[in-house]
Amino acid sequence: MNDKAKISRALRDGSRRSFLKKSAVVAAAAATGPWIVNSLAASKEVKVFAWVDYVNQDMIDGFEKETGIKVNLTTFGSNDEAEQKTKASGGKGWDVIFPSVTNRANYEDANAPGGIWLAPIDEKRANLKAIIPSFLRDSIALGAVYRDKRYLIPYDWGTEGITFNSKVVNLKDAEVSFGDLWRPEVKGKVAFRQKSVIMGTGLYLDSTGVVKSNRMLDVYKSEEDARRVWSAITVWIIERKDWFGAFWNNATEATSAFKDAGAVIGQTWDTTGLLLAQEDSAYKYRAPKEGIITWLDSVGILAGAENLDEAYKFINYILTPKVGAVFSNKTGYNSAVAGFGDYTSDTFKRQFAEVYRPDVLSNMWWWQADTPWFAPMRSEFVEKISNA
Amino acid sequence: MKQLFEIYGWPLTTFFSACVALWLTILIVTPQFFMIELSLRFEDRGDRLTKIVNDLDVLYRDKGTKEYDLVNGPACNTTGMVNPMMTGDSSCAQFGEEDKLRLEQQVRELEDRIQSLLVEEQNLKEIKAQQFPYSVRNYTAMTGLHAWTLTKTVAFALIVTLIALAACYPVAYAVALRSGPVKTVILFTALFVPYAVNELMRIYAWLTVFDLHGLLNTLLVIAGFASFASDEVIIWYRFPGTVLVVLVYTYILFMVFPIYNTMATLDPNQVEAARDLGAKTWRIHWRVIIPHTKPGIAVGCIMTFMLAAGSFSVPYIITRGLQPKWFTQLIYDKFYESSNWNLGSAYSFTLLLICILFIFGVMAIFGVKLRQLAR
Repeated sequence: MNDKAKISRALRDGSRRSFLKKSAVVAAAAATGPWIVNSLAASKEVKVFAWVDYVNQDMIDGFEKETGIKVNLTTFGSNDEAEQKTKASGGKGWDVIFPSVTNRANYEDANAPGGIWLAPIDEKRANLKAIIPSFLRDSIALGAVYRDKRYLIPYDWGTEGITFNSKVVNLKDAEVSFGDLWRPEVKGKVAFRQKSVIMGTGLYLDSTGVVKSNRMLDVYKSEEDARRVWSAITVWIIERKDWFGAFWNNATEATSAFKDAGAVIGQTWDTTGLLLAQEDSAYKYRAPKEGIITWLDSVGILAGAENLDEAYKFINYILTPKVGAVFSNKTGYNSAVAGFGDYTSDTFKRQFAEVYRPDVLSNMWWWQADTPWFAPMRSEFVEKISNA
Repeated sequence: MKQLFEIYGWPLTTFFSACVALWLTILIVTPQFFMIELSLRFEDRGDRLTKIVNDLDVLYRDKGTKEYDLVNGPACNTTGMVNPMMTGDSSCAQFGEEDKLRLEQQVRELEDRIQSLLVEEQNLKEIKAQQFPYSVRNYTAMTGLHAWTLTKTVAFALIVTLIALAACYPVAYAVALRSGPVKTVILFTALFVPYAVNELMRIYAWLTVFDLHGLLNTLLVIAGFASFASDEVIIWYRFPGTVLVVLVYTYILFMVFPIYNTMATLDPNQVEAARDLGAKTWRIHWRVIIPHTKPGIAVGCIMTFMLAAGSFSVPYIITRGLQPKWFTQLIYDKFYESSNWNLGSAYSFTLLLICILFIFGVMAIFGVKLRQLAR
């Protein structure tokens, strides 16, 4: 049968014809649908791009009730993901974003309109007075300001310390160390994320004098120093690869490392350890004596934001003490809003006092502002650990 | 083209052609072009310009903090909840006149250094804009570790293809040539049902089999070979075999169908004739069925190989990160972790080239032409 005959037979076949018609209708509906929805909602909506656990339903409902503005939420699991998705979308698609303050430099891009995918904060419209002043000040040194303009507002801070099952490994509060991950009795049951275990273990090795790194600040100093320090730490960790129990990259995976993959100790974010402890008191989240790793997260506006008014309303809403407390109670992270502590739950207050003793608070290790070589080189060593 | 106009008339033919053109541009040409373009741009992160941008950042941060202090006075603790501070006094004292003058002087010095660096930055940017932007450095930059990852991924994909072929040939044979209509329906339903479930769900389902407290370990405990209490269980996702098993399971249908389709067109009389003439079973397969099924086998192998080599979710989910990464995960990391889209593009294009080489290799082995495959 030649092609012509084949095609004309197909054409005679009634069912195909009606299928064509139907699919044309569906295609037309699909093409017009989103456009109509967009134009209807454009005036009363704010598009938020946040960490998985950052904007909970209570906050969404509360904001909508107060302002009538709908929250359209998209989530990410890591800073790198947020940066690359922002870059891929050309700074559009969302209005409000929650980067770690130290990662601001990664939003710089020669292709972006003002050299950066974020929009400068209008200090008249954002309620910066709501923030604890020391955070406002310190956030500048950590990267919130780009060429004389503020781009990021401190939103919350949290830590990365040691979560352990005290039934299996019983550590004394004041003696917990990043080195405890490598104790003989936890072989094969350790959870961590590769990109931060090289910092935690680095702090431990610096304190014991095995790899001197000026409390890991050397990796921010220069490319050569970073390579020297991380190489040595990576070799040390790979020698102990039998200890690896599970890797995590976001809060959900970290929790599942303990619940499903049999981890008994791990270097985790505070949320993982604190929420596990609320379910089962055998779990403890404690600060290592080398200094607990601390991060400061922030909120900003994207360069291509379409709903600027709504974005500022949303930011000012989440910067109220009550909402700051709702956020902290749910996640275990600490709001940067002044006076949020008055509204937090008893559980939160108790856990805060347990973990952040005065000696811990005076010895915190802060993630520093990213340098150009930081992320690529770190991922080089992460690959070595993953492939060990 | 003329034929098409005659059969459909000009409106429909134009519409079809437009659709095809749109498909080609949006789904094939544009992304590939974007990717190749990116992969040919090498980003030097150690150059003078990057260093200046970083230095500028440091100076601006320093200046910003000092200016903040000038306006607000030294940082102080004003909240009920104790909060950590990295820098600054914890007292709420005011600056004296001397402190202020000193700070202002420092700000001016920083501003001078910033201005001179800004000039140099501008010059370097202009020079960079005039340079020829393309090079093949991303393609030649693959390190030993990455090359090894690529080799392993291709080898694993080949193994998956072979296992799938070995598993599917008998199944296709049974369905196509050895069963009546009722049996065929039953066998097909059995093949189909698992595939009505979302791929991710099926992969997670396998996780419940391999997990520490999963099905396999529970069976071992019941049989008395392992114990949950003393933690004497097997950590299955440390074995590469788990990824192979799940990959075979996930993509097996793409092997069964092409083989079944070609096999079903074989006239059963030919098999009977061969048997009547005294051919043994293996000989019937070798001389009658396989030669007829070759295009189907080739298509099945190509699809399974491409899907396995390009699989991201299976190795990611099943291993819990406890096995060396696959090349696909490496590409993902280049884009999402180390922020190097250029290298990521070069890597994914390399993988694509290898897959295309595989297609031609398979076609050469089976002696099939592109025209036959398309059918």
